[in-house]
Amino acid sequence: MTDARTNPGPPESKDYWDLVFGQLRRRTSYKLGLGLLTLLYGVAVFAPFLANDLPLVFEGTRYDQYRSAQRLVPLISNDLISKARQGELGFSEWRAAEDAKRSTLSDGELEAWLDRQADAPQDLRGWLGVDRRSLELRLVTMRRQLAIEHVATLDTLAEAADALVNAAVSADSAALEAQAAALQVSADAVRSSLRAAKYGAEPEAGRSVPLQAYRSHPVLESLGLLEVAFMALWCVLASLPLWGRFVDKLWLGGSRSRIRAARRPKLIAVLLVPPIAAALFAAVVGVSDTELETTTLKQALSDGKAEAVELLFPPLAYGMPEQNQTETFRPPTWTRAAEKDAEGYYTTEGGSARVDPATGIPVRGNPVIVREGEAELNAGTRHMLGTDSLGRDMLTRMVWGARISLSVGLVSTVLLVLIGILIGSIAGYFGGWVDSVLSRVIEIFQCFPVFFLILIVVSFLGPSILNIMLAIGLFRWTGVARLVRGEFIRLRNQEFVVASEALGVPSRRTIFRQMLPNAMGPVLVAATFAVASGILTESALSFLGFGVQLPVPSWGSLLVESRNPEYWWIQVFPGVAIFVTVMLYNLVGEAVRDALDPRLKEA
Amino acid sequence: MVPTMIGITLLVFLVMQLAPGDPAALASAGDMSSGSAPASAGQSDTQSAYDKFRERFHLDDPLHVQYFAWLGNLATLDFGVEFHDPSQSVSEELLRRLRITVPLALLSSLLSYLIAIPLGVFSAVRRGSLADKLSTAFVFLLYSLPTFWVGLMLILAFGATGFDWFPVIGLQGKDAADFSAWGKFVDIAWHCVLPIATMTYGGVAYLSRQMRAGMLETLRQDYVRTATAKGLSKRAVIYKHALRNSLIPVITIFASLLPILVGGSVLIESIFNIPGMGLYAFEGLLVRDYPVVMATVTFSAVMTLLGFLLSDVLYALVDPRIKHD
Repeated sequence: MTDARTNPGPPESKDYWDLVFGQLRRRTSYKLGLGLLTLLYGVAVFAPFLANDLPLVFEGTRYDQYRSAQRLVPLISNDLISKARQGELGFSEWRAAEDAKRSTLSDGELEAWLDRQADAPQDLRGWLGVDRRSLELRLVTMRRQLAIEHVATLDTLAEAADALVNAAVSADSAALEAQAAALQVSADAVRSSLRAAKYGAEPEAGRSVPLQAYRSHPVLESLGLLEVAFMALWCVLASLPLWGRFVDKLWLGGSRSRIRAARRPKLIAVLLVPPIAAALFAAVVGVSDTELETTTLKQALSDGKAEAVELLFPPLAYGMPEQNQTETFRPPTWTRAAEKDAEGYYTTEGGSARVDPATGIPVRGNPVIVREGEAELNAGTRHMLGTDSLGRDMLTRMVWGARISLSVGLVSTVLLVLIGILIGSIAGYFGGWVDSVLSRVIEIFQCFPVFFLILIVVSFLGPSILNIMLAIGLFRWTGVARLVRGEFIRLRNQEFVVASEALGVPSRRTIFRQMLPNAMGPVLVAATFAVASGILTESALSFLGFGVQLPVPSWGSLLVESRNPEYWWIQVFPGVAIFVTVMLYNLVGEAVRDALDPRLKEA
Repeated sequence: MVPTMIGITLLVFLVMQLAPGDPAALASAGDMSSGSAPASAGQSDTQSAYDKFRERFHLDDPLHVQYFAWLGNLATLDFGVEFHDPSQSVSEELLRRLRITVPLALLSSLLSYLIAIPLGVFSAVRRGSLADKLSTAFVFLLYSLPTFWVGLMLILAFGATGFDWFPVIGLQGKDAADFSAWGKFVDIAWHCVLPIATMTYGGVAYLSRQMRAGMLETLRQDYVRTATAKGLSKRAVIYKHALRNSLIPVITIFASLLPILVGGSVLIESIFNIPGMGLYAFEGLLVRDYPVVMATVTFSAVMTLLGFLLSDVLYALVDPRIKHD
């Protein structure tokens, strides 16, 4: 190998993947398909920012949260005091009571019990800590809405609580009583003098205090670490065309051999980004289980229990499970059929709906509840794809459903490709009786109506997202296995394989490091089509009633929420989403196949 | 052939062992609720029904004994009786269902060929033209459509809430018994339009792509160039020389297409509520009637195996060059 830095030499040779990607870059269908798919995955990954009943930015006051916290602080303080007085004895009694529960539980409850015991307090300090943490949560909620001079009361209360816990642990009864009295005083002060003044009203001195606006980013704070990691991964991969070219041209000087050598470090760098991003997020924003939602912010705003100075909702201001009983099965709001009047009647129905057909008695209207942040009653953008049986926004559910549908496709494909590669490479490399046996197994699997077999297994194991992925992976690997086997038979007697064997390289290394990279082309094509077929299979399973049973729906399970043709939007739009995704995967798959097989290119 | 056959039966048998619950408990409970036993008979009757059921279906025998007993029955095409209706032989019912599924599958594959071959040839002959691009794009779109969704959309568009052109449930109208022979035929044909359209579009998409690729491959062959060079009309070159040769791979697909149509009918038959083999299998699965599920899966697997065999034979028949290899 010539070193490109010292000797530019003749034009460097292109390897297999250079040729393939060179071909692919020239294809519009590939670029278009991959671009749109990336966008689709972006929608799935960034769903919380696109469709959420939490605002992106909130600046204002929350009377509901403050009031609930202010009511609870004295109660929790009293609880803490009485537990501290019981001391070790109280803890062991509690422990004994928990253990006694165990024998009375059924199997299902036992599991929940064991889960609970995993992070149950182990000693007196831990036992008191449960109350102390719960107290702290309320204090945080109060503090951020109070002026400095009032915060002092809360600080005194927190100090007294800490001292009380310490006194209880060290069994110092004199200190304990002193601290209990101090805590009691602070708690009474919170109860009597820190009430929230009514919005706009003057606070009464010594009784109530004005609340101050605070600023928060509720969507950001609601994110889990896994979500953040996937968002980071998406950003890195989606911007690959930009930074990839930059790194290749400027940093690596455009030299092919150096670019090739940098492939592995690049991959490692890409894989490192998500954990780093998640760690940064945890450090800066923190993982929030601290938010005490009594009602959702959107509901509180609509009820006048919260006041916003600044408020910014995501483009779709609906929560994924958010229901609205006043507009069930509403057609897409840009259609004329969806128009409703102020009393909640569809205008196209005229006066007929206002009278009970059986009795002739007028029926009271059911005015549509329009919550804060939502579009107006008859705005075309209110429910662009209609609502379902519980008045949930279909578009919102489709945005979240993309997560399930797309991940079923991807994970099942990874599974079937792994199985296929393993079996195909063993059959192709070792040949002989191993090959005959494995070929027979492949043949057997190919004879089955695979979809029905998957249906049987999912119905036996119970419909869950994991079982669906597993069943698809376990029954769809034969195509990949056949391809890999064929490639391995072709490569088996080539010089580099013979040389590798002659050098005494272990067969595992020959298979996976020497031969496999040269057999991956057809696998890549098959995998692309397999993702499409996985998404199709999942939706068909959902259609037959064996789909995912999760709070987050998949496109297939959305589609079967109603078979009533009157509610056409429920059947049409999720199907369009499935169709478009499958089509994009097929588009990319065909482009890759053509790029790999120059003979087909002209066809 | 024979090892594969045994492998198929073994796999079916093993998959069925995954089944949760106890079919005997299900079936004897079902007997109780259906009122065949007096409600006051109580525990002991249920227990004896349960025992009888287990004995009847040999559920207490060791697994390998059960397997070989089942295999022995299979050899005589005896799939046993239904769990839920022991007077009903599965083989008989399966045969009755096949009389619906097989004609539908045959008709739909015939239609697929009739549409796909001209479409593929047309596309290949005018390669690169606007018409070719449009038809390729159209076929590509068809290829990506989810089958069950197409069925639903057809029902939406042509069923009672749409144009109301076709009935969407079952194969016969409500008062089919009163119709004359001709009336019955028209009734059934009318009911078949949407299901056959749903079954056919996928075949059209797949076959016409194969046909186009095969035709393009053939058009590049030397003998086609020779035929053109010796002054034959374009028509003669295409239809006499190229078409016949490019039909070979497409025709052999038929053998593997038919079992797929029969096996893949689960979705279509449950959408349109057609009492064919697919619906039989699906309903059997829903009520956990294991003999029905085993029979349908085994049957379609063996059919597919025979299809592969037929495909090889067909290949040799239509292309004499194969024999000399």
